[in-house]
Amino acid sequence: MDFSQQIAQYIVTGLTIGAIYAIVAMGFNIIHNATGIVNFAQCEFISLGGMFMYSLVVLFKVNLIISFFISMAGVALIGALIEIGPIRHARSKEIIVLIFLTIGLSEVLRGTAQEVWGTDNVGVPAFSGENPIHLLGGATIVPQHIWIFAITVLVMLMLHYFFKKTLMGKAMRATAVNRRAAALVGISVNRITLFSFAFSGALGAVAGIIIAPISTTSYDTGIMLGLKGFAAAILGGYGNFAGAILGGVILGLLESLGAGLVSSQYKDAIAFFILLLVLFLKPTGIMGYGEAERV
Amino acid sequence: MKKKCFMVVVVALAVSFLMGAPFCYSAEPIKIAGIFALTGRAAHIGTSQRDAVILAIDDVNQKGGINGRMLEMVMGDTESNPTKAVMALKKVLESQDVVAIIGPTLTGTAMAMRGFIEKEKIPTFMHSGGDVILKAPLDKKDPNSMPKWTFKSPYKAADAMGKICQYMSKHGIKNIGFLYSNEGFGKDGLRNVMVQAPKYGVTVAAQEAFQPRDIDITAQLTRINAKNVDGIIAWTVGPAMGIIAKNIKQLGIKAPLFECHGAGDPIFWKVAGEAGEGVMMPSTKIVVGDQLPDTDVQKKKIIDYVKAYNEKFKHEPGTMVAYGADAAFIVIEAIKKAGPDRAKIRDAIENTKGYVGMSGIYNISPQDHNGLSMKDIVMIKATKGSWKLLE
Amino acid sequence: MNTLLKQKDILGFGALAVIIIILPLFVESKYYFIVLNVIGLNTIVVVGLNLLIGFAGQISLGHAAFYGLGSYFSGILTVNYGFPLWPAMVVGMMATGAVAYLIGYPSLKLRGHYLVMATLGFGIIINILMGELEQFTGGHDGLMGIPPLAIGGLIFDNDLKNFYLIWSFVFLCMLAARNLLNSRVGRALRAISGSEVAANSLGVNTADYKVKVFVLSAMFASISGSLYAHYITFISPSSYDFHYSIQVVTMVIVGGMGSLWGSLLGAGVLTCISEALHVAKQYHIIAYGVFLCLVLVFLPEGILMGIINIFLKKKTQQNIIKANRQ
Repeated sequence: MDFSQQIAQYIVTGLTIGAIYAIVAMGFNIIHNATGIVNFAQCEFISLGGMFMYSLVVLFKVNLIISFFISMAGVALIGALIEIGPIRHARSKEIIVLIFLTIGLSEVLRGTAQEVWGTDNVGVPAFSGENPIHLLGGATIVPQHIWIFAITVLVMLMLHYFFKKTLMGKAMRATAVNRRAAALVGISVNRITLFSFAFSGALGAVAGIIIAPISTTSYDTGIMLGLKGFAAAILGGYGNFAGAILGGVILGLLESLGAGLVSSQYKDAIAFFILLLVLFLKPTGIMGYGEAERV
Repeated sequence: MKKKCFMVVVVALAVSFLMGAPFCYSAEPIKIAGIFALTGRAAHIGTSQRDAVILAIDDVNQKGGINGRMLEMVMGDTESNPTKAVMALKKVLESQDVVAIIGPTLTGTAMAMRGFIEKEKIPTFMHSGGDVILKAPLDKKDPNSMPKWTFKSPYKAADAMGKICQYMSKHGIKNIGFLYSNEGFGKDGLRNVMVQAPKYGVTVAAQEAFQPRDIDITAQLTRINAKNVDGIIAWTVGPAMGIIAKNIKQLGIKAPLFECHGAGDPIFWKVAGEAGEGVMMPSTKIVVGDQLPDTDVQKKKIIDYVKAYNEKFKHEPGTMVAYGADAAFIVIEAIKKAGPDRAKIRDAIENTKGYVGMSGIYNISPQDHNGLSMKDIVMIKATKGSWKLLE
Repeated sequence: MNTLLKQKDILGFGALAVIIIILPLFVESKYYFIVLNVIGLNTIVVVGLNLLIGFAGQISLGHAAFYGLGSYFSGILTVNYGFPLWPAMVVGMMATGAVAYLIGYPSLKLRGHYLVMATLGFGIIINILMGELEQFTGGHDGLMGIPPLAIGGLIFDNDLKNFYLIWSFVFLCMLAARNLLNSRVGRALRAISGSEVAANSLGVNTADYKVKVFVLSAMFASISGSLYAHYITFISPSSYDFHYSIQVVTMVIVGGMGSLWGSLLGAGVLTCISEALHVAKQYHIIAYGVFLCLVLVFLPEGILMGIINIFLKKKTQQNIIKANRQ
């Protein structure tokens, strides 16, 4: 295996991990835009997506495609319930209180998942086999990687269409810019918030589902993925969708190239160090415009 | 208002009297403590070790206990966190009559507890992997200050590594890559392979780390593969066991994969799937009990235990279960011999000779608080959802 | 108003001192002592962190790093280099402060979630270094054999002695925080937390104050970390991961942001609850989460103020009813 082949492999690997981070980052962004908070329960959406998929496909032998959509809907429902219940009824709308409320909620979800599924990691069958595919340039992937790319791109296109063309999407963007103004022009902010929680639940589930055949899944698999997804969102510019993709891909590449070329022990440290550097040079992330100062 | 307060006090007093009243049993139970990682990152290991210990205790109690006294377990949860482990230790020691401790699961928690255990003088049989528990002196300035009250049931990681290297050199594998999870267990493996490999004429050509929660390890494997190795050792327990096997298949690497002595567990198949086929590893004999020759003294014991475990928990035990069970059985034997007295139990454990356990034959001595040797380890190969005994 | 506040504080600190001194007369169990000691250690971190969150309005999810730096400086200097105990602790505090300055200076220019991420990332990097710099830190196996603290012949080598040691530090740290808040600096901080722009336009050098309070809160965490290292006598990286950072911020919020006594209560309640809930066996994580959610939903101003408010409301209502009757 010569050096150019190695590089090709690192890049392909980085792109796949990056695609997952990007989807997770999108989930963070949607809720941020509707409410201004960081939803740490996003981590649990990922785990739950994977575990629902496992239950349906492996335990109940349901068809793969049907399982995919049921899992997505299931997690979306949980996301919606979180919003209808605790988030909406929280007496304080202060951002930091809500952020830690999502941390409390994620403890509840994680604890429950541990009771339901136990603590073992479990595998989910790949969507279409595991025979390696050789790419030009010498890198190898498995069919699941193609699924990851395809689904990520599809999700991105759908999101783009949704936010640019549909009324609901436009309303969500308006709410992101200014909650109060949006409410004044007749947008139901509560409905937007509810929808955004369900939406990012579905997105988290997608991330958990498509990565499960590669990385296996467990009740707490989402913690690390969620953290990296949050980092990707921040790196790209929090709340910015193109930024989420860019942030995810950069973070994924940093990790795989860092492990391949520099040091596998320090790869996470390298990734986070560069993230800090970027923030110090451009405090609003690569594509962020910065938040308007509220006085 | 005053009346209410009075009522509360009366009720509280009544409750505390009831709770404190000595139970009128003819023989009080003998208490041992079990401290496991029931939650947190090592929960998947801790819970199965807990089950193993519960099974051992039930077994004794069904046979009438020890001299008519039942065994009772006081449980503690380390939450996989060193500080919480020390707190759990102090909590179980609240009941003065706890005569011995079994656990904890993780090496880090074991290290945090060790100093307090020595101070409290309570015999403790750990099932954490790291050799450092027994090797590191309690006081850095005094190399002879070895732990007196601490024992551990899993065989030394150095021996497991030695077994792999021995097997490799016998089968002509000379140039290897070492892949380890970047935490205590993996680092311990790295130190061991550096010592053991040269002994058997094996060269470590590449060493790469990964994070225990990584979802993809192809970058590290690509780097190892570039060194043209003819064997790979992966030192980790958890999801990465499977991810590595899958990634190796994806990259088309032909070099055989060896994993650590914790991999011989049903979890392996759950995470690796078909990619797990052909992976080799050192293991306790518990996973290949029925393949052992009839001359093997452990055979009957293992088969009986596996049957009981299967009946109670409805799944096959893994190699981690053996460590939990052995720790429990040796402590119970010691209590039978010495009675419920901490110091005497410690001495009895230290004098355990030729005890036939699931993990091997324990010969514990003041110099060796583990008592297993390389002879107790077998090499197994993952075959069709199960294990094949190699030698 | 000002003198009244001070009188209240004198009462509070007096009561705290008395409780610290006499509590051991009623507690026998070593387990209760270690719980109390862990509460004390957490309180020191939480008080410092509350200065940052509650008074300067900045969130840090990286305080596990400072807590860890304190532990590791104390541990490494005394074990590997034979440093005397107390100077090692002071050096650790100073060095942690310096690190906090270096990271705080660029970080605190960041706003909102960017600051959260920056501190989180910093914490993760430090946590990785603890595991990797084996020749100093002992790596993931941890650093063992850290000597207990001592004053002359008095060695703090059991739970009771450490109780007095740790809680003396709690007392001093809280006193220091209170004095700071009653000073010019405190007024500036409250102004920042109210509105940074307004404070800035009134001539408060907000950037400077924010960095200073960040450094101070890091030093508090460092003190606590040193005490922890000398108490448990063993440290390893897993005690200082981002879960700890989240835990202490949770304590700040549950206790009440911007409330000094709330910090004590927050650390106390959450440490006790997470221990007490072990009776719920494997359900303790769920129970803890539910508790946390309930507090944050219904008492967002923190347990202390929340309960006081409920009480006050009742009282006002009763007074109104009384007044109406008359």
